[in-house]
Amino acid sequence: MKVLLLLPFMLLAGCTHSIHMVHSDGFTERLQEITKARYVEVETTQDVVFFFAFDTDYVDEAKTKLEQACPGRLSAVSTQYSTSHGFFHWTNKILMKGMCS
Amino acid sequence: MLRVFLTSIVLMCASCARLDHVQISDIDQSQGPLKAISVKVSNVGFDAAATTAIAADLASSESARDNLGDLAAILAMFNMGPRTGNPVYNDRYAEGLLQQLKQQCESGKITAIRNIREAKSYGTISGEIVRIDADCII
Repeated sequence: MKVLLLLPFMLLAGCTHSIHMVHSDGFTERLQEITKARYVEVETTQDVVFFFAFDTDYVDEAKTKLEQACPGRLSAVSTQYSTSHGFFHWTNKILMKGMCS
Repeated sequence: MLRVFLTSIVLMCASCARLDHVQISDIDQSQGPLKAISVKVSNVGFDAAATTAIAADLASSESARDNLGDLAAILAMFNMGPRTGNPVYNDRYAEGLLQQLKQQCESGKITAIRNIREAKSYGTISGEIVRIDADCII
């Protein structure tokens, strides 16, 4: 009985997230330029297991990937920093989006 | 029964606003008049471990208190990691903000963008909010 009661809690608890920050900037183009622009998005992650952090350059990696995704002009760049929680580990995520023209 | 009812009323009324993060971008007032625009998205935050810990404190029997205490510890272990406010069950709820902001501004020129991360907190339950206020150059 206890196991049956515990199970939904475990399922519910194993997939939580926390968004720490969303930042956007740079809507400076005219409308004509924005309508022609293409939307680009990259995500990089950092795994932390038992408080040991790996991939410590994941933010720089996101910026590099975004630049590679758009060789031209990037505007309206937004950054979301969030964490997905887990059992003695968690994953920090950086999601960068922008308009490429 | 009356005590539970009154406590529920007090708990429902006792919400708090919480501000986590604010950032403002460049402000351009030289290109024309400005119109205020705003986009807000939110998601339900729920701290299962804290809720169970409260239930353990309120439990009348010793065994129930022990079991709920164990459950709270297990839930905390399953939800490890840094958090801003209560955890949510969807980490993509703030994704459409840019498009929504753009739709509100016909000229496409947006300035004075204020990025706000805040919440309406009701203890272990909260409304986790991401809001962008800005000015549209008309």
